[in-house]
Amino acid sequence: MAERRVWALAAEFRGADDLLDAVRQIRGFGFRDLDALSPFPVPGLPEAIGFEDRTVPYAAAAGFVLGFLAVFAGEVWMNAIDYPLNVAGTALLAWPAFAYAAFQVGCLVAAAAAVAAMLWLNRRVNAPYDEAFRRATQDRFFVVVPVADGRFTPREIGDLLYGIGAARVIEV
Amino acid sequence: MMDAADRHALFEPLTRQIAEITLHRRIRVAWWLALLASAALTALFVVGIVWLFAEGVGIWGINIPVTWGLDIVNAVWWVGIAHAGTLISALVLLMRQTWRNALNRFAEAMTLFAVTIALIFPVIHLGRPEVFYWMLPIPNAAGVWPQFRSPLLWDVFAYLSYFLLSATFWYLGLMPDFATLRDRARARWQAWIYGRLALGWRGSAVAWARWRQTYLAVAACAFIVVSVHSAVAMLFASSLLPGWHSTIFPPMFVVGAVFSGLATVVILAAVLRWSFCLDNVITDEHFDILSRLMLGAGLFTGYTYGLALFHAWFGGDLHARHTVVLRLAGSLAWQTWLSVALSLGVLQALWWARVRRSPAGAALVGAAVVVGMWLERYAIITGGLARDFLPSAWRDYAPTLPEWLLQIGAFGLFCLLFVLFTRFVPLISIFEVKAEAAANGGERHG
Amino acid sequence: MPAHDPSRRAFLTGLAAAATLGACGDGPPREAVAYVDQPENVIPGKPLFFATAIPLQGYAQPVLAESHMGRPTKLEGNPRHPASRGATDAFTQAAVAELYGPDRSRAVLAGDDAAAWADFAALAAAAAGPGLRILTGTVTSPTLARQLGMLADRGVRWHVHEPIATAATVGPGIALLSRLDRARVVVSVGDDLLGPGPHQVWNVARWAEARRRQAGGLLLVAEPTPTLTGTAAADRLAVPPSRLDALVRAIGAAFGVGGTTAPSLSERERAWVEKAVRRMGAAGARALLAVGPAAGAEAAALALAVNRVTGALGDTVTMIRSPAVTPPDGAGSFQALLDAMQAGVVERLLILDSNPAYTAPPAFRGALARVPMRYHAGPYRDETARLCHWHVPLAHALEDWSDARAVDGTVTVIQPLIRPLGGGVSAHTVLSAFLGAPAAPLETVQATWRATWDDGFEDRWAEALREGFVAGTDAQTVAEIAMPQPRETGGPAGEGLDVVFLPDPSVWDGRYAAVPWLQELPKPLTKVTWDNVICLPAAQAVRVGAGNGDLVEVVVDGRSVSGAAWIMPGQAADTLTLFLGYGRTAGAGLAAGRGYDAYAVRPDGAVTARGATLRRLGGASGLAVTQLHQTLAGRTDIVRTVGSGETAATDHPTASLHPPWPDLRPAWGMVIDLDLCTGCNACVVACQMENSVPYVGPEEVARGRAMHWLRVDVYHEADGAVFAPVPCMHCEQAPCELGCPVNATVHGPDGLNQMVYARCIGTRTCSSYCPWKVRRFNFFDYAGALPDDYRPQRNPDVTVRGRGVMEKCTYCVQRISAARIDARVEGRAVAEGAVRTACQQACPARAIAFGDLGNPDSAVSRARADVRHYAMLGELGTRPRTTYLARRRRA
Repeated sequence: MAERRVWALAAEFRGADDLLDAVRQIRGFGFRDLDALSPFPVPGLPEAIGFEDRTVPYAAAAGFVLGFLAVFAGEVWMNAIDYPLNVAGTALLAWPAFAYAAFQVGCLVAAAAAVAAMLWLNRRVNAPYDEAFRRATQDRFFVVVPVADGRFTPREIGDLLYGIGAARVIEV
Repeated sequence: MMDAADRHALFEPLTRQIAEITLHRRIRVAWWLALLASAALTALFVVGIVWLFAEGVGIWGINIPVTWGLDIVNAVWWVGIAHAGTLISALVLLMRQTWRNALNRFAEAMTLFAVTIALIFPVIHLGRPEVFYWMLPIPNAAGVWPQFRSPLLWDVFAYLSYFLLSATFWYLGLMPDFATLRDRARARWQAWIYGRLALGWRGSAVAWARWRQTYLAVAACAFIVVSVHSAVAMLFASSLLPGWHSTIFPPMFVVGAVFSGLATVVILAAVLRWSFCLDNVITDEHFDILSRLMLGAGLFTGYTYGLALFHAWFGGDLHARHTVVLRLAGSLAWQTWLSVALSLGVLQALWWARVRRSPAGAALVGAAVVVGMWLERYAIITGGLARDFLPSAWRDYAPTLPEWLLQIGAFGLFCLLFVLFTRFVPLISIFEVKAEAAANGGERHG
Repeated sequence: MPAHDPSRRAFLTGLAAAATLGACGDGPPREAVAYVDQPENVIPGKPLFFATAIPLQGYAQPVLAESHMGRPTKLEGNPRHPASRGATDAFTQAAVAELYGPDRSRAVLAGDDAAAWADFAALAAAAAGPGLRILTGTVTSPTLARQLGMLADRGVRWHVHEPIATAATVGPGIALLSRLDRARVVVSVGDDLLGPGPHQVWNVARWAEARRRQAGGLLLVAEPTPTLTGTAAADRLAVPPSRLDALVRAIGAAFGVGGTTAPSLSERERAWVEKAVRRMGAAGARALLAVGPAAGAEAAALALAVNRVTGALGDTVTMIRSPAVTPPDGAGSFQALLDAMQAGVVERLLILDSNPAYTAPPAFRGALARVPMRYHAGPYRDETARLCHWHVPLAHALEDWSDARAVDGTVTVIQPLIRPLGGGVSAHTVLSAFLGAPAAPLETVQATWRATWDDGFEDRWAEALREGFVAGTDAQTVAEIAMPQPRETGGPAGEGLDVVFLPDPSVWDGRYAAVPWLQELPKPLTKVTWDNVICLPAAQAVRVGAGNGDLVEVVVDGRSVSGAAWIMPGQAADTLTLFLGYGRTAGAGLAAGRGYDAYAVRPDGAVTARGATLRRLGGASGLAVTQLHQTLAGRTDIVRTVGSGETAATDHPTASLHPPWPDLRPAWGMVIDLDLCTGCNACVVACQMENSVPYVGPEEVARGRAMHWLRVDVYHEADGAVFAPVPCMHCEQAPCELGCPVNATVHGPDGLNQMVYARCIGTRTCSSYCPWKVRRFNFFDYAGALPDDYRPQRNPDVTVRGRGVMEKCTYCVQRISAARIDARVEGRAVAEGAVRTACQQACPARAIAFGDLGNPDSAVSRARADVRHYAMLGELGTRPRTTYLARRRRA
């Protein structure tokens, strides 16, 4: 079997609090681009690992605006421009009425945009991990420290991780 | 008070308890019986629809003036029930109340199934159901478009976006749990299916972070639940009819929907807790909270009823006042009083903590509320049409057998979907329950 | 298609047209001549109009028959005819549906077997002689009379049986004809002047004219059971029929006519009589005392004397030579036949267009069995046909040549529009056969007129066919006859209840039972369909514990009948009403077995009976009623009544958030004058025939799914009943349009609320949103369920609606469209009066005005400016284009 290059080391911890402490310590050591694995979203973890991406909320907002405008424009075109009809003597540009469907679809597009952004941005995030980490979805927590060239060897990182209380270290 | 070490010791037992419901190989006999029973009732639904399409809507009891009967009552009632699921999963989430974590999975499932059924009725009730798609903005040879000023068309967009949004939200919450199941599955086919459904989820914190952003964003979009049932209310309030033309209708319907939906959630919670021994997950405290919510929603609903009657009387309009009298003391008054007795009268039992905290008690109250709210929709819709402006047009409505087949069959379809849900999908949100346990010290689930 | 305007009629030119239409198989015969002007060409798709008449109980109801490609589809009144002035009644409107009825007899029958006409003709030729008797209904046809005369020369005796007495006779061959347009005051004692029958159009048109000019139309009515005349009355007195005679004698006493003993009257009766006498005195010769058959012959004679004293005789009522030919035995004609039959003198009997086995007292059946050879000629294989040895199907009035007189005596030559659909044979052909001189009806009718007109036959014949009547044939007034002396009558009221026998407002004496649209036509005062009811006063209903629809039994003279009870507001105390025309057993189509047979308990041709008993039976009859709630329930703003000069409108002009839409002309609008509407239902049937509105049957009507686009609501209030015709309001801001998700109902630039059948998906939101509930839904495929026989009657300019589609009044958009096309072709605007909706055109009272609201001089605009004008539910702000003129309080 050929030697696989170790890309990162993952340290296993028992509890969410332990995980948070470990992450903070590791960041204190100067490591960046950390990741973690947990069975549920741990409050404070995204900040701890330095996650600051706000693309998803922006995508949602943009989706709402675009969806709203598109549907509204469509309604205006259908009911006021392409085939205008006198319906109950109401205005052709019945904007309160048109706004309703636009709002509904806007919300839907916002949600879809958020989900699409998430799926797209997350597409490779979970890829490095395999069945070895199956307990990450059950009851174990992991910190993932990338092996950046130069600064530390994998073994050194491993020792460091055991030092701060990891139950186990796995090579990724 | 448990310490951190003990808290996380709960995770595995919790996970096992919930996951085994779906992963367990041998399926209990009771489940098969439930499946068969609901499938049989669903068959009635199919029979009702086939009969309807073959003969026409004339087989129902509708007439002029009561052109809408059980068809629209059900379309409104089912989508109303759905609202509480969204309330619990989305709106309560935004309020950062973690008690919802034990309930939101099956509540959201309830929403999805209820909306599915609610989508069926408006399609089959058409005189020409084969061209239902003309309500959608699809180009056609005549070049005619839908009419967007119509509240009915608002409902089309409302129901469809609500359905898609609920499905999206539900799936979003399911992804991590599918991963959990994949990692526990003993059979290869189970692991494979849940694996594909999990979309490769491993629990990465970066993924979690984005996931949470998405979860909150979609939950915020779930505010359309207010607009959905407002549009349903506008279907009636946009008309000029004396019992319908009232600005209180949108709030009344929304609150009433949440009310009836909470009642259904309570019933489902009690049934699931009993069927799957989930006492430690769906605790008495959950019932207490749900009952309080139900009581609050019910009182609010009662208040809006009072307002509606008051507005009608205070406005001085002759026809509106006549309608008030008819509703309270006329030939159709039994509908009003029976629905109030069931939905608001029985509700008062929830003032007692013993009833609130008991699953059976709360579920019984919930059942009365659900039936009472159905009757309330029935009274508003058919009663409003049966007695409007011109006495020469007054005529009563009575549902016929084909309509009852659809009524019972819809209930059967709901049960069928739910029974299948409990078998194949984790009915409690495993990761959220663990998150709640981690946050709250595990008292609830010890 | 030409506009429905008298001055613009398309028509036929001789051979060319006949060839075109003959290609369609059942075209009008070659010799038919169309109405008025002649165009150069016949355009396929454009209808032709032929002037003819439909006999109603023998009296001609003049019509213009509209024919599409050789098929009659609609009947309009003949505006040039002096009797009808262009209006029609419900029976006449339905005649075109009657023509195509699948239940009509289509074969000559010998017993139960089909036979050949030739065989019957041979038998008939040998049958004429003293042993042959002929029984018919009322005969006004000069040709038929001539033929009967020729048969009389051979010893054939002719008798008349007519179950319903309509024309008041004062002597042999002399009838009374009212002229209500000249009357300021009409006092009616049991005379249903405005009610259904051959005189309805004549009377209503004239009464409405007087009322419209506010120069008359004041009605004081005393009657035992509510009728249309009583509903229109200013003062209505409900009295048992046994009291009618006393009332007439009291009036007579006031005018110095009649016996010396004044009858004793109750307080209320006296007040009414005093009021009547006072009004009559003030009106002088312009008053009219009319007495119906329920009051008795003595009262009729008394009334005649009173009218002579007041000077009304010769003014508001005239004696004319009766249009109906008098049979040899006069009023006792039928009894004479019955006696002869029972005596065994009658060897052969021809029953021509009459159904005595059903309409005559039961003794007739027994007597009939004693006649060795019986022939029946009639439109249906009815109860009488089944008792006869031979049955010959009779042609419909639209199928062959004939002639008839209207109620004023004017002759109309009846010309056919279509060859007999089912091998029907004209009555003239039948009599020709008996005369042994077979001849086509055309020849026979022409022979009559050749003899009558000394010269210029061809021109006069063509003119008669073009105009639709023969000028100068109205009946001569009879100046002096020996007045019958009124005798002292009256005895004490007997035990038991009084009974009044009335013809049914929808099927008359039963002859229209097989016409489903008439079966489904709601009776004006009960709104019952497909059934007849036994009317009870409220006190009797309480006594026997019966509500509407419960089965009750009435026993008269030892014979009993049971039927559905109906509590009739305004019914006289201790009086029951039994309606004739139901309970049929043969030849009645879908109505077979429905309702009860009042003829079974009716004393010989009587209008009233005494000493009846009433009791409740168990069970109820499921009545199909179109209007279940018949009171205003306090909503008096819906149907308004105003005093003299009082303004009816209470609504303020409503502001709107909607932008103003451009006002285009013509802006169609309709105004219905509630003061003139008598509730006769002619408009309802006219609308159904014009727009191919299907019937749905009694089960569906009971479920509330009747399809009448135009309905006439009735509200029984404390001071009487009111009628309100309700078509689509064509709101400018229509709630129905707002609710439709697919643009299936939108607003046209001319103000019409348009219904697009092809786009409708059937959500029924429009109906839910409509405050007047005028929309009708095809819950099943009603049009498709109709027998194929009726398809030729359908108007080719109107779409046939399928299952799941909404429909409603369209202001006869096909007529508007046709007028618009004509106007555009000729480069001019649509003229005032060029478009007349079917309902407007049929109404005998001309209660409906329709036209361009943008034209300040149009009839509708002037009606809108009237102080009595208001919009029903106008406060809703939908701006309906259909509005009303309030009823005037009848002082």
